[in-house]
Amino acid sequence: MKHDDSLAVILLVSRVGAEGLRPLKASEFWELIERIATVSEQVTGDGPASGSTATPGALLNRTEGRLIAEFGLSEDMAGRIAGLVGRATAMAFELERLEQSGIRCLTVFEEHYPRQWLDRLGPKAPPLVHAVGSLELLDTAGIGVVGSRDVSEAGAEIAREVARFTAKRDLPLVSGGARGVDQLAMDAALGAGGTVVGVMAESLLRKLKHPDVRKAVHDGNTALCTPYAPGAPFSAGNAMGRNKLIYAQAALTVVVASDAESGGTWSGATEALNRGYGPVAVWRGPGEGPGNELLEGMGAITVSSIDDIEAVLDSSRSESIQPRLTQTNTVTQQALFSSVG
Amino acid sequence: MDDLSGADAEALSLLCRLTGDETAEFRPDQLETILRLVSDRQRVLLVQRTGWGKSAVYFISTKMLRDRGSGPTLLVSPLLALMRNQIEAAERLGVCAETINSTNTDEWHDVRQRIEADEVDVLLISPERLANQDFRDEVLPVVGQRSGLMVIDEAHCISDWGHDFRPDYRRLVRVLELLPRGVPVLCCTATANDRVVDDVTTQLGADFVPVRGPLARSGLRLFAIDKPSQAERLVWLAAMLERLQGTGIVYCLTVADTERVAAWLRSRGINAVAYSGDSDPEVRIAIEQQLLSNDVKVVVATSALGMGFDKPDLAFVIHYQSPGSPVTYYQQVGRAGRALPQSWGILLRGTEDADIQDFFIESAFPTADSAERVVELLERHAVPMTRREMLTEVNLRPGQLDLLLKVLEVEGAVERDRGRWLRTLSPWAFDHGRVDSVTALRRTEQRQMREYIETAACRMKLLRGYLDDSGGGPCGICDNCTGESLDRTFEPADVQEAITFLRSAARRIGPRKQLSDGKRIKVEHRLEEGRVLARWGDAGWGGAVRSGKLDQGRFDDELVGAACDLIRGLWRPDPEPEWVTFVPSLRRPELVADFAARLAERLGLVCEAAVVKVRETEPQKTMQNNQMQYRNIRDAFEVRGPLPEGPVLLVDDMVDSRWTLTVVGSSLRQAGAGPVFPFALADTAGRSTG
Repeated sequence: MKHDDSLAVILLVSRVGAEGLRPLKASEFWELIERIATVSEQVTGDGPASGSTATPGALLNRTEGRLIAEFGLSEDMAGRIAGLVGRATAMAFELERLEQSGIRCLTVFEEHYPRQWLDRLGPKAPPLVHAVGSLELLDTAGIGVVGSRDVSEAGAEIAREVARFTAKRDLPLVSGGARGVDQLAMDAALGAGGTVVGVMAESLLRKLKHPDVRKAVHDGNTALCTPYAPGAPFSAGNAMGRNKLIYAQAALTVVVASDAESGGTWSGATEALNRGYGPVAVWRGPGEGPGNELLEGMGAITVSSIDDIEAVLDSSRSESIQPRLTQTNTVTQQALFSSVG
Repeated sequence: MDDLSGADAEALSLLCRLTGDETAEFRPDQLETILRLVSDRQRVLLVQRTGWGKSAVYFISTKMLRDRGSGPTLLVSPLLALMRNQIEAAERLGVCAETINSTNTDEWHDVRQRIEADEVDVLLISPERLANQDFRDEVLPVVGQRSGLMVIDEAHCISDWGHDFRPDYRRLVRVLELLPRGVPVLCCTATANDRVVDDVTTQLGADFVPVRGPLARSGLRLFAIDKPSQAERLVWLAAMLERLQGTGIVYCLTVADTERVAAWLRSRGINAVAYSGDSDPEVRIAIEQQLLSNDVKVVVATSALGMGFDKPDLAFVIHYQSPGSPVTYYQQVGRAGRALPQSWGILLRGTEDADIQDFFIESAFPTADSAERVVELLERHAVPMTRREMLTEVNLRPGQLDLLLKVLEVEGAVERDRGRWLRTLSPWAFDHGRVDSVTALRRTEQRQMREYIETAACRMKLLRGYLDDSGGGPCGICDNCTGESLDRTFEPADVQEAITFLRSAARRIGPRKQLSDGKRIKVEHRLEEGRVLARWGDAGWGGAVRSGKLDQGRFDDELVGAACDLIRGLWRPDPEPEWVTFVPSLRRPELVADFAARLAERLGLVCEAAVVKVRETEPQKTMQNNQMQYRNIRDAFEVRGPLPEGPVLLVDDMVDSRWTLTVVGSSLRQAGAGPVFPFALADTAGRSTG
């Protein structure tokens, strides 16, 4: 039985079957959760919401009027919630169909949801991801490899080397699952007997039509996930939103080759550096991109050999690699952090 | 919160409107169930006997929930065809019900628009509909957009401990697991012993409140008679039906038996009609109507006449063969006389029952080996495959493959992709434990049915005990309680008539028109329509064929005579065959050759060994589907001329897939033979169960 909290998360944020409704954005979701938790703790006496901290499940089975009265929500928000939650039956059938295909809806309340995301992304952490394959890989901090789609042969070789090293360290290789560096690295990791996590910005359903991808999933060394609807097509916006999940998942993300001041790799890396989403290393050496040196100047850790990467990882328990938390976790997130799993 | 007494009164006034009776009162549990659904938004598992009035519960609940702003009720039932009367009754409440099924696709759009406009109160669908992609894409999202009551009828189909397991129901269980509390759900069944209720409750989850009424029946007189021979049973049946007042059902275990028994009864002047899963849905509905209005004396049916059939004045239920479990037996016999002071439930046991029960038990589950091979095949293939493509790779009958795919789909191992099949991305392993324990249970049930027939104690008490209903003493009206037996012996001449009837039941061999790869066989190379004397091992000639093949190594002269009579009498192939040939065997070269020679002599024709087997083949009966069977025997035979002129009778001992006869016949035609009339002694094709 899926827990009511998880079902509530799905109903509130999923874009599946949400025509005419306005699913909550991650930040709206976390704000709402914070609100109902705080309000319910303040209530005293014998009101229906008193006695314990309200979790998302409390938003089910309440009329708009009660949502407003009990949690002090705006009329607009209460209307949105009632509409979203009211599609429970349609959603149950849709979830069953996805699960039949092997696609799980993993909410922040469930095992294998990557805890690092809560820790590093705060209110930007997606409350829900769609995931396929060996889910236990998702909450194992891996090594990220990112780079442009059109990579030089020297750059490609670096990506492969990092991937093989990752396999040897028995860590998941984390990438965006796109053409270019992502794909090269994933193939190399699997080829070396390692495991991979793909955080997708393109349609998960379409990706899963590829025989190679299906085989990789069946082999049990692959997890793919996306914070977007499983059928949502690729967009630049989605790719940007996705990049932060790679940095936040990985113990260390290596930027193989980046353009300067443009392109997805550049934006993702600078955002990760500026906001402290996760440790960023930049490759300096044959195959690097025109933006690599600039990233070094912005605070990325320089690596010029596999040994360098190994050294960074080995020191990761010391302060140098700890994520620089610029976001403050919400109270509820901290509570989740200690209770999840 | 509802004012309980207010909801109470509201429900009662709706009941009065529904029944058109101002003094109507709720039966025990009805009001409680309605309030649980409407006021408390609970999940209820309702176990009540047929005719108790569960439709009143869900229609009244629907009306009350709709008045409180809920979305439409979604009602899943395998018995939609039988619900027209209830739907009409619902209209008296102003409850508008619509059905979506495979026959009204042109109305889907309209229904969808009316759901969007909030004009539909109940949508009725079959469980199979839930697996339909168009339905899920087009209609379901609209229905579920505003959740209402969910009703799952015949909920015992969830349990594979029961005999009515439907894989699509497993899907519903998963949907319920993904549905948050607060959406009211009603699961109903009239059929469940403790084990099935426990299993259903376990699968549905602890949130379900069980509401269970008594199963008890009075006035049903139970009898059991051991009558090994089919011929004697037929004579007994005809005599008994002359005596019994009113109309009823005779249950058989196989489709072939329903047809045979109905034909026999008609030949005795009794208005009988056969009914099985093989009959068209419209025909089945028409037959049910005939029985409801007493326009037919007896319907001879398989278990396909079952769930949801409700005739309170059914006078008798006779079993021509014994079902394999007390639950099934009680379900079927319990249809008799619900509203009559006295009714009859008579069980006959024949020699063939145990074999047929064994067959059902052994074929109930796909084997681990075939399941693993299919999953492995799809996994290796990685792109979706058609059934036909799979059949060329795995040695399964198409029906077996379909069952297997259905089970694997429910287990989440495979999924459909527009008519093709695909391995899902979920891990899967064959559930040996489940299969072993269900099979062991089936063996226990089989033993209980033997005890039921052989017992000297009260049959009703024993039967209730098997169903976990231990209350009450002896019924006082069964054969053991009263000492009255319905067994009779008959004059040999009467029995001989039944034997002759059974032996005349020759079947046709229809000519195949295309090869297994879909290539057409030229008209001039096809077989003519042929005949098969018996079914392997049946009560007519089937027993003699079996002992000839397995015990004596020679087919008896009696069979030569029977074949000759068939050809000269009932069949009379036209144009008349002018010579005889046969399908040769390397393993048993004499058996068929000898029989064909003696048959030719009796017919006054020559027998030519015109066909030669050039390589050994596997027995066709071990080949499970067309592709495999055809591949097994193609190129195995050659025709050696010169051939006599004119039409020819082609003799074989067994016919299964017809591929051997088709291929040999085609070769004969190509070598210059005239029209080829196939003849076989026995049909060994897999038993039809539905």
